[in-house]
Amino acid sequence: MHEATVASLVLDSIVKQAAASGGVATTVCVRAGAFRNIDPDSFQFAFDALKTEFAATARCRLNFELVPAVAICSGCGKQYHPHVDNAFACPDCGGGIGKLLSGEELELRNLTIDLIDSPEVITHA
Amino acid sequence: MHEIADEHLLENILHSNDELALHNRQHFDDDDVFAINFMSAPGAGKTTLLCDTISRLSECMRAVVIEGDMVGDIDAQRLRDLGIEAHQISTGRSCHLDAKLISRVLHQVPLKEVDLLCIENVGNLVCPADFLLGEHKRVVLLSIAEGDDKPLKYPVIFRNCDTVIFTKSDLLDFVDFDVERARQSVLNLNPNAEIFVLSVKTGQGMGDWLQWLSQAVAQYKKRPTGVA
Repeated sequence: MHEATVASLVLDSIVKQAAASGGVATTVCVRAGAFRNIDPDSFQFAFDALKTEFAATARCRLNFELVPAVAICSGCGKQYHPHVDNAFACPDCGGGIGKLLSGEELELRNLTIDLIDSPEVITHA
Repeated sequence: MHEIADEHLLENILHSNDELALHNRQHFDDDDVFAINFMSAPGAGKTTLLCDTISRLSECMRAVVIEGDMVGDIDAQRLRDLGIEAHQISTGRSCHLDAKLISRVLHQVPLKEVDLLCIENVGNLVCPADFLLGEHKRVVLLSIAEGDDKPLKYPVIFRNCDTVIFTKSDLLDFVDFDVERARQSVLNLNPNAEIFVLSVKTGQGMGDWLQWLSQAVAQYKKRPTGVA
């Protein structure tokens, strides 16, 4: 269910950008951190199921990238990969996640659009 | 037909929600209202805790509730039966509240007359974690009946909160729930989390929670002007 929610947000964004440039989307990359509750297979399924609701996304291919979590330990300050097998604790000192350097991304990247009417180039600030 | 790729595009998918959450926060701060987002699985005791908490604090602060449920207004009615003002949001298909849903209902809430706004999210340990509402504090409830492994199974929500409450502690005699294991799992994910263990039914632990909440509201109201 969560994957469907996020897929809807992604598709809404693509539809807006495709409309702004007068084309249809062909590929998009979604980068999701390990701390974003996104299962890649469920997300792919939701994306493919929902994309047909819009002409601008019906043919859009998804490249999904799962970004591993990297944390700074609150105890010893070392970098580690928090994982459920170690109860998300630091393997060296048993400390917790002080800061997440990566793993909380939820980003849309590299959108490719087929321009139907004119070869105008879209730009983003 | 001409194909273009925008290699520079980098869009935070939650950007529009986060923007609206900031807008909601501004409303809260303009009217001096401390807002808390209560999240948990269904049945962890959010409404029961709010009924008891708000009733006990009614002489020292005025609190109102925004209730989020997929269907119906059973929880809002429970609060209203106690004389607590409650505004229901029915989310329909959506399994969480988002900033837009909150902003739509805010015009019905008399914020200028309120000290504390309690937002009871839809019962769910997954989706609500990602959607900021504009709240000042995020509180996650975990009932003893759910099991002490839940922080490890739903790490995101226990990472992205300020306070965790283990509810229904009266069940500890009947259920294999290791409080220390659950506490350590929360702290591994979120070393700054404040943790309470309580039972509304017996009153055990309620004093610490009420003291924390009263102090949080009082500290907020004493903040320098313009600082949330």
